[in-house]
Amino acid sequence: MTVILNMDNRDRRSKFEELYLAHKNIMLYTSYNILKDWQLAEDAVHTSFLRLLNKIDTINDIACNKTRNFLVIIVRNVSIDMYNKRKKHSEYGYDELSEKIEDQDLSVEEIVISHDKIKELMDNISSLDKKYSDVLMLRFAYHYSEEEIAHLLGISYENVRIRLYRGRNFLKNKLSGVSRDE
Amino acid sequence: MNKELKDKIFCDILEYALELECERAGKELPAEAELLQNLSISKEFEKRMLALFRVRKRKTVTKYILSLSKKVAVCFMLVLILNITLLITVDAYRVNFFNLCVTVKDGFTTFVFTEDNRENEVEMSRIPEDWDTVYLPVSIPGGFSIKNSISTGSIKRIIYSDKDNKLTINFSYYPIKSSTFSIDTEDSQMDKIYIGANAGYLSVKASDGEERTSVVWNDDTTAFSLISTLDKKTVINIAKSVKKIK
Repeated sequence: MTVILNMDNRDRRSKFEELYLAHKNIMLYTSYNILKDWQLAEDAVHTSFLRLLNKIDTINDIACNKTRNFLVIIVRNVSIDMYNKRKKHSEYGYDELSEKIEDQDLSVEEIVISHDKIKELMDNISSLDKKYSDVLMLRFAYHYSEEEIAHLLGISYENVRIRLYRGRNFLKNKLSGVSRDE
Repeated sequence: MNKELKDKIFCDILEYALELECERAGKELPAEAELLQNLSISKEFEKRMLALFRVRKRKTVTKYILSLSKKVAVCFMLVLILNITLLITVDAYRVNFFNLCVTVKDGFTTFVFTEDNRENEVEMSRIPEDWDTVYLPVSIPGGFSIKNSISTGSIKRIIYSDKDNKLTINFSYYPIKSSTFSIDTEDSQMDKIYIGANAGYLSVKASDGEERTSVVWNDDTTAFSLISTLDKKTVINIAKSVKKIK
């Protein structure tokens, strides 16, 4: 079938190759959905793995859902970057924040750490713009530093800090609003 | 509760929620097998990925070699420091360390340097003790030893011969301006040579079916003469190895 898939001996394949074989389809699929071109989708996947070249040791479990999501985050950002460069303007709105986020002093005493509240926060995260949720996930769930996130997503360090700040404030605002409504 | 603590608590809650959201988002993605039928992967892409895997392997090997090299370098430095400390502090270690290799070239045995001067002591035993200055060639062909040592006025002569007493080396020296000696150069060719930084003359004469090579030279204080039936190159090497022993 292909050169790589003909490699029978799993022991000889590196972690890097295992990662590729386990998740290449979802990465190509994600990338194709944005770029609508198979060749460009392949370029995006290749670029994503280039960015992961020195970060592979931070991935422990190759086959888990968390790793799968991580690779999708990387390839999605790479694809959007490629798309925007082709179109020479940002159609995916990753450059400017459309709504103003106000920094609210959240009263933590008002938050009850319950399963429902966590679920609401998760729903808010999933409804958050991808450019903020991706950076928040890479920072807090995957524990990458801001410099590493900048390298992985191909954006500037300042941009990473701004997105983290705005994303957190948006979620704080949502959480505070839900708590106060009750 | 202060603002920093509130912020920390919120970050911890957010971290937990994000971990769960990552897991959920990953689970909701379509499975690899489902996507296989709709995907088209080119051979060119597979080749590019193979090249990338090779790069990754090379980086891993290089990283391993670098870390190993650092460990080897540290060990080497430790051994070096230990050796230097022992050289400085322990006499026996220093003596053994400075007994260097003996090189054998074409029948020559050369002692480059030795703190243990046993060989010189053997040769010195054949030199009269009342000689105030002693010069000896330290590079002598194998099998030769001192047969006789003669003092005539200020001229000192040392005669080497081989085991069969067939080949001889006549080595003489005297202080400049105190005396002279001459060598037979009739019907021979004289060539100017240098023994170290000192100018000298080489003469090769055939006599009774054998060639005799003579070399004369001097330094600032002493004149030297070396006469032998050995070949020219060997005689020059012997001359160049003459050193002041006493």
